[in-house]
Amino acid sequence: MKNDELIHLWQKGSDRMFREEKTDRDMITQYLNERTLKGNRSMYFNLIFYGAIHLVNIILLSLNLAGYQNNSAMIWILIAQLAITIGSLVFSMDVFYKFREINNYSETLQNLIQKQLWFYRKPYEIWLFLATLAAIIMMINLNLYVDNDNGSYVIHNKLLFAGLMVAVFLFIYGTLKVTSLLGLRKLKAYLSDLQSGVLDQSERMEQTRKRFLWLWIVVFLLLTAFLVLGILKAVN
Amino acid sequence: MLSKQVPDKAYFVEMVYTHMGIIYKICKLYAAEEDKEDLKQEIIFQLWKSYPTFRGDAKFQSWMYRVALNTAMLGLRARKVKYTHLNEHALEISDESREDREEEVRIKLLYKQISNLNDLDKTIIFLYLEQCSYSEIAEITGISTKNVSVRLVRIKEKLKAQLNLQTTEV
Repeated sequence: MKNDELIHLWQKGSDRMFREEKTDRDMITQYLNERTLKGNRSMYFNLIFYGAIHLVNIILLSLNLAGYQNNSAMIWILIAQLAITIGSLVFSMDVFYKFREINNYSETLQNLIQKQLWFYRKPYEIWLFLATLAAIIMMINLNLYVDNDNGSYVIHNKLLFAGLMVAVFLFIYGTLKVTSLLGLRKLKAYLSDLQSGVLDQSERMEQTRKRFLWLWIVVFLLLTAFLVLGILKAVN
Repeated sequence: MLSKQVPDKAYFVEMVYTHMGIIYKICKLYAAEEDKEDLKQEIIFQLWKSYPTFRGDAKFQSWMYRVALNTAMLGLRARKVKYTHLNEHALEISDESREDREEEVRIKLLYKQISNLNDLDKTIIFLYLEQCSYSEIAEITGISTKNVSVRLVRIKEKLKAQLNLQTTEV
């Protein structure tokens, strides 16, 4: 079989295979309006959701700054939180634009994979931490706002308070981290595939992912139980 | 020459329509039967999204290969991590169109063997069969021209051996 016979076969096959395919101009135009792709929805949702949390935090912190203006110790804690929140919001917006950038598929495959790897290793890792911190800041400030006693706030059980915060932090960070870790490992395997030209690693990855899923479920259940127990203890 | 500032939607739609065959073929090779429609939509959407970055001096077709293949590998497929190879039924050719049985069997096997290759080899042979030059293949994949040439020799040998072997078995 000669090389040009492969091309000849390919062309013949293409002509026959696509006779039934019907995509007209109107359908193409319609596809252009798909705003968000199915697979990226969860990532965009996370970025927007935590961006909104940062905004809510800025409002809550402003209210608390007004409410605790006579409490000198609290004022500095709130100012520090406000600075972190504004910084996080700006950083989140940057991450959002970077995510859009790495999903622009007009570059070479190798460049694209390297860019995606960099994104998930660096900015996204920082974003995970800041997103978790945002949830903690929101919880603290909601409490501060509700339990504001003429500019002072009393923590009755410091150990329980600290334990609850750590549990919430671990729960949110753990969930986000595991999700990102799975995505990152997939991409790593893909880059490796590209370099070595074999699929073995990706297929092994899929098996690992399934095993890892079980571990994630166990950790999730444990943290949830810890969180529920903490809340029940706090209520009683 | 295409404008970077104001993407010409009508022109874009016309160009994609003209080259729809590229998208059909990529969907056939890279997506499972149930994902083909999703991949087709995703490729068209990604093409439109990347259109402002298209340099007018480059060939529309080469640019389209690059975006479509990247979408197939890093978009839907990468997220699903699904390695679905073409099944026999997906390549069946109706009795009415049969003119040369042996050739049809070979076409069927060729597509099947290509779909069984790993992603990079599949991309390289696909572009070769679409008659892209080695430098175009290198530019699209990001690997060197020399590497393309070495890989192509290996892939073609493999395909030819499998086709010869399997057609005698049929």
